[in-house]
Amino acid sequence: MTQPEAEKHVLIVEDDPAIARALELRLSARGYAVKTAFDAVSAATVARRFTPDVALLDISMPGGDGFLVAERLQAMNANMPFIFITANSWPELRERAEAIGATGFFEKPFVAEELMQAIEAA
Amino acid sequence: MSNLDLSQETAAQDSALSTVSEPVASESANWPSRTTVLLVDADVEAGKTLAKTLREINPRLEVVHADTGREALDYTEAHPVDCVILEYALPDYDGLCLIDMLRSADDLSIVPSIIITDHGSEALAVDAIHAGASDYFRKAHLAPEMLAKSVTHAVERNRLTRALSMQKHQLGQQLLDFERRNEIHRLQREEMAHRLLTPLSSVQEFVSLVLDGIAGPISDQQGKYLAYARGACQSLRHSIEAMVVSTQIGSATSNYQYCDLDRLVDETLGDFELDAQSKGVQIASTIDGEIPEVRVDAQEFKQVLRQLIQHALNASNEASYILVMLEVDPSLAHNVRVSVTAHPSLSEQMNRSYLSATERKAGREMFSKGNYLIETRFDSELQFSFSVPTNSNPDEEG
Repeated sequence: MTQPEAEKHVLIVEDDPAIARALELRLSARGYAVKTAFDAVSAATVARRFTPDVALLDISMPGGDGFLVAERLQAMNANMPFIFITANSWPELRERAEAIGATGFFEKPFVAEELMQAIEAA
Repeated sequence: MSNLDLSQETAAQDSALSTVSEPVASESANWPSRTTVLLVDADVEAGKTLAKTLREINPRLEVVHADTGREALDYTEAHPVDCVILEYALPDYDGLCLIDMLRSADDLSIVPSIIITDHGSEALAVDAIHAGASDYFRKAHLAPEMLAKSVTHAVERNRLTRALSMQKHQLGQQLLDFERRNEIHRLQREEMAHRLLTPLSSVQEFVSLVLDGIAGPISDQQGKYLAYARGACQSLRHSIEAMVVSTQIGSATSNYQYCDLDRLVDETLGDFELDAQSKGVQIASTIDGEIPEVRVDAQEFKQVLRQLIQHALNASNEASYILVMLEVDPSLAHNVRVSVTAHPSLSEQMNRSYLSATERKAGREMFSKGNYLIETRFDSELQFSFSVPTNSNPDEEG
């Protein structure tokens, strides 16, 4: 397994606590520094303090969707890569994700190793 | 208003008119029970004569007279009128301009108009029709029976046109309602998928975490059981997706596109990698012959294929091998045959038990999934097969 750069910061924005915890465990095991926001509103606040290198965004969340969070993160740092995860597989979501510059789009339940590779490459 | 209700005036003369020719039966039979005709002519005497003649043709006709365009406009704003007979040369208005201004009581259409005139020409006739008049007569050559017939046709044509407009409007409203309901259903499906797939993701992810050793070392036996659990999560995901798709109301937009079936098969098999591994079953695909591109709904095709492969997997054990084959259908021209074969499989009885109750009730070894008719063969191996036409466009079929 390839070791990532030390302390690469990953921001998880996911309203489901179980999925968020599972992702935290996996990313921490890989050596990433991880912070989680549970809704679109707090995501920007957490991001400002944490300055992530890459963001993992759920699309369907209370208080605003993943696209809104992506816009806010891009306003802070236009070059910040972000990856969407979603339970809905509608083609228009994927198209919209590509249009705003997402570096990855994964449907739940995702294959963990594929997601890890996308984060590593971001 | 200086107009005269000539129908009342002439009613008193009915007995004197009894020697006049009987109303034309064919015309009067076409009149609705009450038809109001507004006659707009500054020549009051000519108007009286014409009104009388029209009533002779049909006693149910009510003829109202107006001397000027202004009187005609005021009348139609306050009273329903079925047809207007309009002199072109009015004291205050050009008769052709008036055509567009004389509106029905509900303002949804113009009142059908017939132009009559002393000062006609071919050019005026053309202008009248272009302006929206139903017909045009020179007074000098006016046969009342022809005018009566023209009024009938104008009224009937207007009635049909209005009925058609109303139906189109209603259909438009129904389409809007359908699209609104469809959008609500789409949002409900998204919500349903989200509620089902999100906790499923958690289960699968935690199983994967343990399998990948992140929670500490596990035994081979634990790994095997967890691999089964992960495979079950995959199956459940496919079932949820199939359920969500099957609740879709027919969309106005077609998803049919030319596709490479081999690519669709490979993508579908990829979903079963973990599940098959956990059961120790091999799954592969093969092509026999040159397979053309076909027009399919890729999502539907993959959904059906996924369900058939899941059936085959359920009917397999560690000694089984599942093969998905694409071939030009030997029995049907212009079709590609897709088959999923599990060999060897469990007994026929066990195989049948994996089909749903609905599928068993079909009575034959055939059942439908989506737009496909699935043939099933049970013997030493379990096989599902269906055909995909190569040269039909579902969008164009009646």
